[in-house]
Amino acid sequence: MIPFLALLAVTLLWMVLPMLPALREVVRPTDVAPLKVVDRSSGYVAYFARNFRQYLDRQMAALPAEAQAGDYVGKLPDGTQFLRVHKSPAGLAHEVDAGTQNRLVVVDHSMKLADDRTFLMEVYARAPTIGGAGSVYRAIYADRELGLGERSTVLRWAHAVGTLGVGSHSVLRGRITSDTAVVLGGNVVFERIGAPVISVGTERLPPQAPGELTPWKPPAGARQVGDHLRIEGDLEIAGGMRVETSLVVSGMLRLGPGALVEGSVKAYRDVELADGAQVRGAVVARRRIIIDTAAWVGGPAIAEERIRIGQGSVIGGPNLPATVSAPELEMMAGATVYGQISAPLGGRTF
Amino acid sequence: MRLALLIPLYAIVAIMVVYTIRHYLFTLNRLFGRHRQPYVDVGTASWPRVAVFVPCHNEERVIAHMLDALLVCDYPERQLVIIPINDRSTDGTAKILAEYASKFPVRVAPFVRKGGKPGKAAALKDAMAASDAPIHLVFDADYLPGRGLIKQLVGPFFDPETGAVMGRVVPMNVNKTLLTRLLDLERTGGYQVDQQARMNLGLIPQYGGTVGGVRRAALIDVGGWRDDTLAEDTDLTFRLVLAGWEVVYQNRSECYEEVPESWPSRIRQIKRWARGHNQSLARYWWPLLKRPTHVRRWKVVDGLLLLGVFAVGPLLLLGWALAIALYYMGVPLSSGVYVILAVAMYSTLGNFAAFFEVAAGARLDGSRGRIKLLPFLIVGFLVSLVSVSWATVAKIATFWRRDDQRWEKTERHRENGTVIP
Repeated sequence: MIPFLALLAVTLLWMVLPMLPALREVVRPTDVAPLKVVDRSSGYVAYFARNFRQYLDRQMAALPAEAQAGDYVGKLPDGTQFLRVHKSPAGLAHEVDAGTQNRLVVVDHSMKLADDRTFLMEVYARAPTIGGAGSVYRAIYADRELGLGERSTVLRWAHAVGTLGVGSHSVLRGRITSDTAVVLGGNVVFERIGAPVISVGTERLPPQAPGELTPWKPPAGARQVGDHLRIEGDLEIAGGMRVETSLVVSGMLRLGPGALVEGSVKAYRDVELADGAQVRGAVVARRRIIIDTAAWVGGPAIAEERIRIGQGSVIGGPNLPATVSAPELEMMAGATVYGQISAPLGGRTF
Repeated sequence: MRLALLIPLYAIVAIMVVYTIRHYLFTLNRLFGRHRQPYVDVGTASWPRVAVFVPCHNEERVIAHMLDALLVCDYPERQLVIIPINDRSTDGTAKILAEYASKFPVRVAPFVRKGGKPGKAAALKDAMAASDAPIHLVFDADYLPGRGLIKQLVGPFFDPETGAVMGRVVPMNVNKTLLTRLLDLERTGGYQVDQQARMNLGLIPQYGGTVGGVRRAALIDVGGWRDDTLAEDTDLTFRLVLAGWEVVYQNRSECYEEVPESWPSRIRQIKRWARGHNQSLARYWWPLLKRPTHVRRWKVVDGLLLLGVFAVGPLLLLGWALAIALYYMGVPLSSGVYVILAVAMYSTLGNFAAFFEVAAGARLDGSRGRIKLLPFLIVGFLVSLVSVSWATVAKIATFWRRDDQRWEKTERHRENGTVIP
């Protein structure tokens, strides 16, 4: 009997052993808070910039009077070292190494910063500011216009209340936003941009609606599904045609030159818009969206692989904000987006 | 006699193996596959008009929190109307809704229902006519949407093929009881892994009836809400898919909910789900199997497995009963090393497939401590097994009664002063 009981006890112990961490977690919980995954605002593209501005307002307001004006080197109430440059860039000489600034910098006077500077903490520009070429910013907030010199690098975010200009060959990691406009130079690499208007060089307005167009007739086998037309296989709409409904195509979709779709379009493979083609609604592709020259998309453009926006093509409009979203994005000179761009694997201007 | 027992047993084993493979495919996809969320970055757009329906039957404990959360969302005010459906409430719900309607006369427009069929599906069916907005979102009254959630849920509707959108449900009252902690783990597996894997693989994510919405044109296309079902969400999912619409799941569109805090409440909830889901199984397995031309083969397979999830419980119990009966009848199932290997393999992999899914989900969420509770999931699993089987048998026994649509409302537990995350 005793050997049996001993065996039973050992067996039970063996079974309970893997339960010990679970029992401990029940008795002494270590992880009982609701998951912190409910995203309240971080989807907002200027989220970090706004938070920084609010943080700085609180901190600066709590500074003593002597720290509120003129050039100043000191600490914010929370202990963060900061440097105010009021009159000239000479104040920026407080550096750890030549060209490397490890303090939070407040620029109070309109100025052009020197080339090849590295700012390890945030920069807050209260006056119009032009960054030097080859500079690296952790993050920068500007109350007015901001120009980033050629070959600049932004590591986390940049925001300007006025126009934000970006010099050629710059690399923009994280979120780049403006309340007015973002103007990108050539060969700029970026991830997320948000502004009423984003352009490569000079911005373009949406083209005029085309004049006389020929009504398009659906191919045999097209099926009406609710408010859209579904077509199996590839579809090419000839130039100069007008499509009055939304389209879902299970293959590839190509809109010929000057064709117009009044609704939205979706293709399981690529969507191609030839020169001057227009879609009033959204364009969605499971693979790529290729937009040639001077074409227009009125709604969001969403692709699961890549989008290419050709020369002078426009997404959205001044009163028609839109999003361009794809893992990879290419924008040619004059390409303009009214709203927001998301290219997590990298966007590039040409 | 032996064959009559052996054939169904082997069929059940085959079905279990298929579900096991499904669990592993989904989990491995989430751990190593491409995360597909094409619409989540649509943050700027010319936003369409949206009606948010909130069915309420005796929701005085929670409805004010819900409305407060909706009223501070970042969706353009002029494009959004909130329609709480006061569905025959007998508590203080009507008074609360009237207060909000007088304070926000344009934004909150309650729909009052004093009679008719009970249940959410019937309430939605009646209230649908209250708005001609092109997008109809639906939230249960105990949910707490974040500021950006409405935009996130509307984003996928820019795709003209999207018929319905589903967001992720996250329990808020996790710290209340062991049950709420286990349900938190179950939700993690169900949404973070199961739903997102279906989205990644282009299968059929399920519209879950809350934290989601439907395109009005699609709803009209498939005949509107049906009030003869206890699972209007599953029912709508399959009608949309069969008609050629897509259902989109967005893992990043999270929303807090209140999960049941007591076992009786949980049992009532899961029995209702089982009855409703099995109704959909009976309705749609054959239309799906016939495969309309626009539905891919893998979607059909996934759809059938999705329809069958609440039939697995009773099948498993039946399998156990058959195996025990055969054992006592002296019938060897088979012999040889292959059987030993198969049994050992299933014991190692098969029995733990669902647990693997939950653990992977918790890992993806970055939560470490709660994974330790994984062994206790067997408790929830056994309770669900029995409850679902009971509900299924009861449904089969009363299949001829077409009025068997009794709606079991989920009990609310929120107290005054509860901290809202």
